[in-house]
Amino acid sequence: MKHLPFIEIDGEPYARWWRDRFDPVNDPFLRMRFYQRGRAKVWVGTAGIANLRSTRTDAVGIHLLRIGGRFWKPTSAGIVAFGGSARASVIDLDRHETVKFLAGEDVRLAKDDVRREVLPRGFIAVRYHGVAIGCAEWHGGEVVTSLIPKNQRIKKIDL
Amino acid sequence: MAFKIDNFRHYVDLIDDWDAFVDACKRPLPVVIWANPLRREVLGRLNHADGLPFSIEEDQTGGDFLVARLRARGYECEEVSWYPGAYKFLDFPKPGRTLEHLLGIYHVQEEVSLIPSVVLTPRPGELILDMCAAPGGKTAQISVAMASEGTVVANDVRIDRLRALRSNCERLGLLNVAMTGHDGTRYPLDDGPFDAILLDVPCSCEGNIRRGIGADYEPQGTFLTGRSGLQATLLGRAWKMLAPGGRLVYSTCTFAPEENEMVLDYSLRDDAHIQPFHISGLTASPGVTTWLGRELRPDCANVSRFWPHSNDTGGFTVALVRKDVAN
Repeated sequence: MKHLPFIEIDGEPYARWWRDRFDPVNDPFLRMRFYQRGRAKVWVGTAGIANLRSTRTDAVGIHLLRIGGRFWKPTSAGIVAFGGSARASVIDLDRHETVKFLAGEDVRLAKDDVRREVLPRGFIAVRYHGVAIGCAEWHGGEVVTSLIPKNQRIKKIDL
Repeated sequence: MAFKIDNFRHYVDLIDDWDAFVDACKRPLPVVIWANPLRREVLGRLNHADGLPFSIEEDQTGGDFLVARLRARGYECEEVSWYPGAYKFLDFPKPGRTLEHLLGIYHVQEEVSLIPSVVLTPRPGELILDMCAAPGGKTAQISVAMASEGTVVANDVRIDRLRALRSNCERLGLLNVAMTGHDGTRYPLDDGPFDAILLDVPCSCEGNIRRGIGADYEPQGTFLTGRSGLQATLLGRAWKMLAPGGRLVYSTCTFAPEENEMVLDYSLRDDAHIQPFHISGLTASPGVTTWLGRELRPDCANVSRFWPHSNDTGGFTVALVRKDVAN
């Protein structure tokens, strides 16, 4: 396993991207610190890491974004923690859809589903009962792909 | 592994009521959960949507409203009297498969294993090390008690356990935790000094007998065999990283004095003081000061032993040690 050090960074570009993408009611990153490990991963939290000079640090706070690819990808953990008051790029699921989403299965959107009208393409926040539950991907078709990490998927969740 | 009471026969003099002990060891453990105050708002929204009580200002831990939610689904529970926001369930078959668990609204943790973090008394703004942290329940208690101010360094040497730690910390939304993967016995001294250290060492897990996981401990008869050596090395290392005046909690889920009082006796010097503590609502037995014919430090009497029959829990042994302020 390759060990890269964590460094504390200026989080404003990432906070701004998040605000633009999800239009939260309140700034969810007030008093938060941002950290980066390698080129692709941005983390957010309140821990002071100046003391941790070693490279065996595995994680700091909550993994928020992957910035290595063409498009920045929010993580499910990041959306659960900071996506609660999103007003944009968010889809509300019903009970049946939520069960499928949390099991890692695709959710179908019919052609005449009104939720499509305001949904941008790309990575979106998923909500159930007004609570952010994870990240999904939508490209304008009928399929909303669940991006719940494999080890966190739960079949037939107790709702 | 089948329950082998003979493995515990040599503790007969340490146990006030042997029959009650044997009886307790044969009963299954209740499921205990604690409500995560960091996710109170999420809980409030879910309850609002479901027509359940939701005003979070009225409920500091979120526990009452969580219980209202789970009761509505048929899970009955009672409060853990000494720990605000914790509840025990006799019939809650899959507590890890609910939406509330996935969203970090509660954490499942055995009642006695809630004790060490409480004894550590974490304060906002401190730098605290949890040296053998995975799977992270105690780390989470510390982080929550600090109200996300200050830093918890949660360490575990095993990659697979580190992964479990990380997934629990993220699920519970802990903001002030940094996770590291050092071998605790060689933890870099530069990362300290720490205001407080939780050292919940790997042990032979005798206290988990009620979980259906049998103890792999066999009476050894000699000191520093089995895991005692590792435990003593970890304690020695932790002590070097503890700030003057700092506090260290040493705990195991095992009964063996070889892994508790004898380790403390072997590793600690004059600058260490094992201190008494009391948790209202929990019955503890004093630590041992002689074992295998050896006289141990007199302050080993301040170690607290939580036997399964005393509070109807698993077994745990906890010591609070304070370091002298430097001269």
